[in-house]
Amino acid sequence: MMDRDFQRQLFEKELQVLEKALLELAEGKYAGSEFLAEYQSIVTQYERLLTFTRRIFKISDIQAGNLLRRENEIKNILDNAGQGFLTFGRDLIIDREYSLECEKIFGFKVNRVNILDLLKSENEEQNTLFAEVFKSVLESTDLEIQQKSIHKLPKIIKREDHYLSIELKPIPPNYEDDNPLCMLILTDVTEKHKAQEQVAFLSFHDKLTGLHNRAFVDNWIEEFRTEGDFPLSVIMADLNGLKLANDVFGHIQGDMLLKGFGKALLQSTRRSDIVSRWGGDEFLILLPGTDRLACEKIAERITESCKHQAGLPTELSVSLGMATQEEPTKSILDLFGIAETRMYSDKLQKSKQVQHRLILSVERELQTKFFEDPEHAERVGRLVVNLAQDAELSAGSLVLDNLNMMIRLHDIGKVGIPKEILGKHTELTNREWEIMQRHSEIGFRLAQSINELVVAEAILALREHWDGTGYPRGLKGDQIPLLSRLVAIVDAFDVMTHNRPYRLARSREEAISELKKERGRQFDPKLTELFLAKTLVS
Amino acid sequence: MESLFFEATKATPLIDFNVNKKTLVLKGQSYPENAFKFYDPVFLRIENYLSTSPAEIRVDIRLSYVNTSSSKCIMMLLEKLEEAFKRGVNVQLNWYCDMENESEVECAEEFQEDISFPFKIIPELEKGSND
Repeated sequence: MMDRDFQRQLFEKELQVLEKALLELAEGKYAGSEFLAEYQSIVTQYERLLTFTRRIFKISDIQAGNLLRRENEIKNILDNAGQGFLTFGRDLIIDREYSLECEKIFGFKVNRVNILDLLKSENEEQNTLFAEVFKSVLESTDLEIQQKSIHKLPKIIKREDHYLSIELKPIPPNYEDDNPLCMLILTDVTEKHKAQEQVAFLSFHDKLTGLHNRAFVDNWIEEFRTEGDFPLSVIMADLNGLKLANDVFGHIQGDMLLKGFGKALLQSTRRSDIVSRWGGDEFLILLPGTDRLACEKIAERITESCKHQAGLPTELSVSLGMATQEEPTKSILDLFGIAETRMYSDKLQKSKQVQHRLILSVERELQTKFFEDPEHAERVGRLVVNLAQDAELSAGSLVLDNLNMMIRLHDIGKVGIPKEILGKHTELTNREWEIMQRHSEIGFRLAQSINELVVAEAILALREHWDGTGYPRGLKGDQIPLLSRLVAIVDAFDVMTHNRPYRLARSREEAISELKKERGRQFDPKLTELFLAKTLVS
Repeated sequence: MESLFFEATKATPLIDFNVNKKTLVLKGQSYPENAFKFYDPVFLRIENYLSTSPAEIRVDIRLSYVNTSSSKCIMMLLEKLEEAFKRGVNVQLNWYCDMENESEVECAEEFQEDISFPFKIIPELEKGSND
């Protein structure tokens, strides 16, 4: 409520004049004057005018405030609707009021801009369509004709990098003197559109490598294969040692191998070829219009390209199987079957080579990442062989046969232990100790995956103690494989007498004393005695 | 004595003066380019009617927006009704306003000032600006 004082202040001077005049009349100041009657009339009308004016001022202020508040409320709704609302009439010039989203979408103020200029794109057909539809909707009063025209408009248009959904609505005149208007509702659907494209992409592509997936190949076989695709060759490719790489380097590095392999395949093929991830570590390459000789050349390129993929934990190794069909006589699935059989045959031949390469990679990883002394294995190797001979183990026995592999692989599980735990200077926490103990099991799995089953068992038991207090299974005495008992003694001696990144070397005497102390506790007492009395002395 | 009826337009209210029913209705919004020109025929018809010393007149007003010139015209109309009331005509006026909009009630109260005939301010739910 507007207060009276404010009104009084606003018309202070006028009210003083009026009150003075009323007082003078009441006091009879102009009694007898010939102008008295006229003066009284002027004072009365002035009073009336002042009363009207004061009240009208107030009403006007209230209504103006009310209008502005309503305008603000409506604008708030429109500006926060997340959609662009604009109107235009027959002159196609956009009206002054529009929602804020229009500015966000177009990047400038759109009032007084011609709607056709605003929506103009390189698509001339679309530009013409807009002009025709707007004209038809604004000139017709027939709802059916208007709707028919509106339906011709595209639902989504592209403007620079944005996708806009558009909706046109005719606004019929409210009053006779109103001009017909059109409202255009614009919504930026770029994110949604991209998500839909992504869904479409993912349904026919492998997310990890970006190559086509099996669904795409199935669809291609059903819908797109033509006689022109023959001779048709296929290459079935398998990434060797992926499981082992996942175990050794972790799945992130394993994924890098898959991505690198995908890249090598794309680099070795043509744009018209279909390169797909068939599943897991298998890839299928369809080569339309390619005979056997051309297919072999592509296979050579694949093998060569694998050698040159940089930044991977180990060199890519691939097994390939090829098959060619000259005419569309047989089922294409038979062709896939032939290629697959040939691929498995290639894989079998390469398996030893792949295992060897991976073990080399792990050794390199241990030395570079975990500062493992490259000579540790050699020294342990020499002493263990001597100890085995001192123990009179016969040549050709299972233990000696596997000794060399055990020496190479006995620390392999450390590759799966975080560097911070492996090189920690202070005592390990319970949790860290738990993680540390996992290296026996990791080493066991790695050795198993390259079919070194005896060595795998020996690695698993390397941290078992003669008295049953070791890990992971708490084996004791003869339950612990001989291979493990031999290596455990020599490994401990070598570790104690050489510098480690986290600990200085102890003297030979201290190490001998420690072995004596642990004889019958951690280590096999007989073998320890033999090592101290014979192997070390010689 | 003739009745008077103006359809509502975007800028002018519906005017329905019915001699037989002895009613005058103003409904809509009022911001004509020339308010006096618009309301002059209404004044004339009402003045004529009131000059016949009728027994009564009932006035219903519902104006969602009244510009400054129109406010002056409405006050002149109220003045005429006040004079008639003082002459003994039974004048009753209902001023309807949007109950959700306090400022409309305030405006009505301003029009009500200095009026001695029955002038009821009736807040009601707004049904729509032009109905």
